[in-house]
Amino acid sequence: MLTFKSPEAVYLALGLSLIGTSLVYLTQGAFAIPFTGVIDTLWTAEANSDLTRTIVWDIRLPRLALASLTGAVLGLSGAVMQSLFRNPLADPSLIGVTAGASLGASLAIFLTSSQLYSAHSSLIVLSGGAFCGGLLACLLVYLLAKSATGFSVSTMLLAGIAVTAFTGSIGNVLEFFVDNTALRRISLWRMGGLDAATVMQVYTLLIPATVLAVVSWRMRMALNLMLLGDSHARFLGVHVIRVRLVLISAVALGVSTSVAMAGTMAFVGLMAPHFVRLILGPDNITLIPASALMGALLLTASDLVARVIIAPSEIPAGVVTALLGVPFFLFLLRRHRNAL
Amino acid sequence: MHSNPVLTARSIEVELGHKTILSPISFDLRAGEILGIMGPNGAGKSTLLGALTREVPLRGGEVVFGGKPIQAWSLEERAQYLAALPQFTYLQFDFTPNEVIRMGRTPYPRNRTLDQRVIERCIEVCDLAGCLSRPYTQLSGGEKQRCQIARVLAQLEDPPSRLESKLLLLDEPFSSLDVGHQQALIKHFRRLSERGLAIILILHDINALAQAADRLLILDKGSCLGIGTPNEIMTPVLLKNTFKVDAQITSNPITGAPWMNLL
Repeated sequence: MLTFKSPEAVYLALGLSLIGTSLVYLTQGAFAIPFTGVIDTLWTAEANSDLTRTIVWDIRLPRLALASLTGAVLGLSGAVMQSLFRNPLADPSLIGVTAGASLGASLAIFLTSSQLYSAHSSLIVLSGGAFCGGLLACLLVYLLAKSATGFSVSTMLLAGIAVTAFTGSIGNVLEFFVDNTALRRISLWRMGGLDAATVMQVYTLLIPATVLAVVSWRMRMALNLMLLGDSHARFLGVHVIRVRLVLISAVALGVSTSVAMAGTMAFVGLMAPHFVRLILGPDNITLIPASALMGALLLTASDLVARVIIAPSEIPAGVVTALLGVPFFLFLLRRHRNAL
Repeated sequence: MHSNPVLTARSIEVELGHKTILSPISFDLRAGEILGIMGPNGAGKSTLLGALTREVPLRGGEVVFGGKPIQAWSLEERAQYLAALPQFTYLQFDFTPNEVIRMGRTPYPRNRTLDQRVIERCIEVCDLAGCLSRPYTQLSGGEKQRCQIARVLAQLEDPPSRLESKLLLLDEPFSSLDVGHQQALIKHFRRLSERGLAIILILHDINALAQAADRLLILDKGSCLGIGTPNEIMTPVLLKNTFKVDAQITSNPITGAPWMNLL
């Protein structure tokens, strides 16, 4: 589809929607806070009752920040991955990166279960384990799906299924061997999605998110050229192998840390770049920033729905993104079936 | 006339898993010269192009480009002097033809007016004006191919009018093109070579190649069977030995280039 919309207008629209959604996000929930109450609490430190202040500052804001940051990381990772794999169906959760990261995090808890941790060092151990698992899964799928003539979509998706199934069963086996403390920590972590988000989690994710954003923005033009083919890109001056290794590592770092901090949010990385491409076209120069914004918007909106739909109880945000994402994925599969 | 060699291959050979893909080949390519590579399917034509540009690792020999070994060039610098179009392109995303051609300008610092002029010129040369409103993925095979040719042409036009010491490699660029576009592009390649550009061209159509090239290199099973002017190479015996065809050679009444008639 050819489009002639200005990127600036799209960034602005996405940014305003994100701010609007965030404000609604802060007012809604098990305890409704009027809009003016939220604004007052955000602007002036002491204007409201302690309860409103605690809910906004200690519960909803960290969760909002974690949701939007996770969404941005996933949207950006999806955009980068689809360009790297030269394939519009690539998504961190579909090709097994999140599953690998998830197993890596469990293993990290298992291997360090005898030691005692402060809250922060345990976050770092989790992230480290998740990163190793995610990177391994990513490289494995990449090597399997790559052939002399490019990438096979079917091999990529099948390899992703295999990695997900394999890591899942290893994870199950692991549960037989861990002691009670570790098991409790693993299941606590597995259950933990965006609820119980803390400022510490946001900070931990902020570093990989920044790395990913800087690296992918610097390599935006190389990503465009690599869509032509590896040799084509080299003839245009791109160090293809170096770019690919750096970007795969950055994506694995971002996605794995997001899994460690917020759990698995399926399909955000698939949907966000697609929506952007429909509006702005496939150029990575606009795709990269807009996908980050779109991912943040998608996950924030999904988490808002997840929190209010059966209030005062709530469902995990990953369920909402999957409910949105699966039909979308099937639609894409149908549209791209010739490329399989 | 241009006489200094742009590219020199000194007994380059390629091996893949103990199987010889390319037996030692040596040749010079001078500025402004068009070298045509011909040979049956699987003869090693694409491998030869790959070996010249280090896309395929060499087992022996060396390639000198612009006075220094080709591996001594940084990729960024080389991209300003050497453009190549591999046989297959994988682009599956909806870029506009304009954006695809613009990719050919990335080796150079951005210069809006020059870029625009070069792109417009390449659109005209490749007859793409009618395709610009459709995304790349919806173009026909021939239109995609012309779009890619336009991209590599745009890569070489900088600074404009200086093409000596530059090299263009094209692997089967005409496989989906109709004769009209083939002829127009061959004429354009001849114009570029007059401005000093050296070109290596792989084509299946032997007659088109004979019209386009100053010299022909004939490959079979990885060995060079001969290199020389079209008249020297296109002999019934050599064609019979390589392609297993019975052919008679006449010459084009206007250009004098040899013409193969299948018997």
